[in-house]
Amino acid sequence: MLALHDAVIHWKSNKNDPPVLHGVNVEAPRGMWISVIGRNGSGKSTLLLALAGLLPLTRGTLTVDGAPLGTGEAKNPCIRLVLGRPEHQIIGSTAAEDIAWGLQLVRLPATEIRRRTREALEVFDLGDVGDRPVHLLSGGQLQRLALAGAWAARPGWILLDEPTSMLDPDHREQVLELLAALRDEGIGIIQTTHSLEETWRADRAWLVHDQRVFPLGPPKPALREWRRFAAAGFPKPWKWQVVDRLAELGHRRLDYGARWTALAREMDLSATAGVLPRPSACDPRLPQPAGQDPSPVLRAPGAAVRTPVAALDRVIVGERLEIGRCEFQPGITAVLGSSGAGKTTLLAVLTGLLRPDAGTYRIPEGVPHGNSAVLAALRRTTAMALQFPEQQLFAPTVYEDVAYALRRRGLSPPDVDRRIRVTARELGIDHLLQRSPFTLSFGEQRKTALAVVLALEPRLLALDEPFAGIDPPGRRALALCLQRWAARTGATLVVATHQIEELLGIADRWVLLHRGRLLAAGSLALAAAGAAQLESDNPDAAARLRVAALWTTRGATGPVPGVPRG
Amino acid sequence: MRGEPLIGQFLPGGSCLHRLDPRSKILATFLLTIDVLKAQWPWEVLAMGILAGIGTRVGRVGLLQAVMPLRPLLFLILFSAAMNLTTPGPVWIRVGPVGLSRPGVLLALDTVTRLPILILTASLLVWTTSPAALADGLAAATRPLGKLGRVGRSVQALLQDMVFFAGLALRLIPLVHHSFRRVRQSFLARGLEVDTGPVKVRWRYLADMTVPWLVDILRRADDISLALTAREYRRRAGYTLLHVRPWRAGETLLAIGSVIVTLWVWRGLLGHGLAVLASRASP
Repeated sequence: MLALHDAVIHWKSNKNDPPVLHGVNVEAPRGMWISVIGRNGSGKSTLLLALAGLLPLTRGTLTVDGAPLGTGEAKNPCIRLVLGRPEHQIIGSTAAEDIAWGLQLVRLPATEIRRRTREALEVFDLGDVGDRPVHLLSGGQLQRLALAGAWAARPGWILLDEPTSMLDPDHREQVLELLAALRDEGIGIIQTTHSLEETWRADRAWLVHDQRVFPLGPPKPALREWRRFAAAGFPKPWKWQVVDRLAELGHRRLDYGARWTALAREMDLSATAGVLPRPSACDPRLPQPAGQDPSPVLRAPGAAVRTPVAALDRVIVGERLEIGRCEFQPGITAVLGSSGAGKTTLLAVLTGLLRPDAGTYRIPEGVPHGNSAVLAALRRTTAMALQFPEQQLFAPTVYEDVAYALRRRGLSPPDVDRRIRVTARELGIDHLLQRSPFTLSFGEQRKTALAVVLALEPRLLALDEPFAGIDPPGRRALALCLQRWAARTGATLVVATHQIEELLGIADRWVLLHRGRLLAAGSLALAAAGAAQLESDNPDAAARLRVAALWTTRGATGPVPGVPRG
Repeated sequence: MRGEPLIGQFLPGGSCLHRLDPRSKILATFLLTIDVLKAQWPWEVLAMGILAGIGTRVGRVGLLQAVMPLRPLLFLILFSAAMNLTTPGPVWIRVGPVGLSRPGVLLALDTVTRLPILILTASLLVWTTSPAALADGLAAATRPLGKLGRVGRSVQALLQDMVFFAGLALRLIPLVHHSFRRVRQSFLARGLEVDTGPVKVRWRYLADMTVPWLVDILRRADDISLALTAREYRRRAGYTLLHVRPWRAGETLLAIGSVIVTLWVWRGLLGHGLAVLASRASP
């Protein structure tokens, strides 16, 4: 039993500040999976650090099987912490070395280390990449490696800080299954998350809210007590809305923990039975992009033909991207695809950060590569926010950070000031302008980092995973901000994301990538049709897309999650 | 952009150089780098170059991988060669208005060959030895200190920590590089003329980029220190040496080989010393 009694926890040494958490009384037995849910900045990570014994308690005790940590029985390495970003905690140069290294530190004999390393590589399906340099591993592999390193120490508990927040649906599913398997092995799992869907699969749920930790017991009865989560700011997950709606439509009631594939099957049945309208491939409300490959050209009758803001023609980038033809128009385009599908590469080509190896990329001014005037025009009119843009904040205040690029671009001071204020108001960060970006909460930092590129008012703006790591209410708010911004500036906003639910009812166009190739581009229904080819590799992602397409047809939903268009 | 060879980067592989005990490789590299510096130009330097070339073949390091790390140092090498060209002396070759002396040209040629060979020899060690094995090898070398009582043990623990962090630093070179690339990309992504602007503007951006770069590196260092603590790293606690293996024929061969090369390079001094000894022995 890992337990905190009457604990008061401060962040680092700031004992004069109000505590991050107080009155913490929690118990985590071995062999139980506990899911800790709470908003950004609620203190989930701090709680994990305290439980791992890495943050001294201001008051209270941390005990392992009744004895304070670090004495008697509890002296052996029994708690392992896996941090949110696997690439920041892997020390070895190869996977095998990293696992071994953790065991070297606890001074096991060399033969035992070799045996356990081999075993861990096998169990976590890393056998064939064990000797590869870690910077060549994919995100999913790194996540498994971090878990393998923790598992090899034979801990009583593994604590994980948002292990799934940067993974696509299928990798997320894999990690969750792994956690369940570890739990069945008798290891205690404590995992923080933003997702109520994940909490549903755990054995116990703890809610971190308002500087307190509430152990809620088994999640299923706890989650029925809905108001508590709503008060803590968690809306009902999209998946559960779908489950509830299906039940209303007279289907058998699916469990909230059901797989997406099951949900998609039920929705398909509904559509076949005529309870739900089939999505039409050419929804007249949505402007259709011209000439896309591989889908046929579809254009709403009467829609004007416009020169595209960006057009790709037979573009090839190494092994990562190969696109026949794709055009981008003003409005919001969502770029979907699993990890390694080429989303980031596509965005980098669109914003001129990457030069295609073959094919042409054309903007209205011309072809930028090989012509420095056009390249300069491309750089002036496009912008991109990289993944985790808040890591790039550096100025002493939010205002200065946003102002930096504007000034360097030669805008006049009144213009700079006006743009900053307009953008800040739009994102709801106008009260933070004089604060240091380093003291802001995670969600606020993300908004600040996005404000930096939004204030440039580019003609084409690419955002790489803008929702990653943000809690659901924060994501919703951010999606609405982006929608407002796109409507005001009339820009082309290209958003790569795993979180399709945030863009339902907001994105005008959907681009689906798979292994560097374009599967579909156009309406959501087209993308869902294209997802059929994803089925074998990414069943969950494909099912989510199919559900999304049926969900957005009129009649499927109560309200579309989010606001109606317009 | 991934897998781009960087200076001091371990290249995993299964060659016999990779499999050798790190202690023997450290010893050999230590001796051979000194030899490269001492060697007479041109033939001995050339011989050392051939030796390094054989090493790269045996270690199965690709030509590209071997040459790429020199790229950032090219400027340094060319600069020192150019400096050497100005050595005074009678004019030997006249190139336009510049007259070059014979010693100057020879010294420049010397620099251009010797420095890359030196870098290549030293790189062979880091290419074929992972930072962890390197740290283990150095840590094993501090073991005799542990037998010297309490002071010796604490000095040993201190040295082991230093060695450990040196290994960590080697391993983190790609992270620092990656961090710079990200900062540069984010500047480019904001439409700043980091690569298309006039030279003066580009230099200014380079200066501007150091602040976010430093911030990013410090943030990562913070994460890594937390990860170290989370995995039970304690200062001066020591750890199992996993990569140190029993000494076998291969290690002995390498050690003897490098000692022979050293003797050959230093034969002049050695001969002199022997002659002095001989003259003293028989007065």
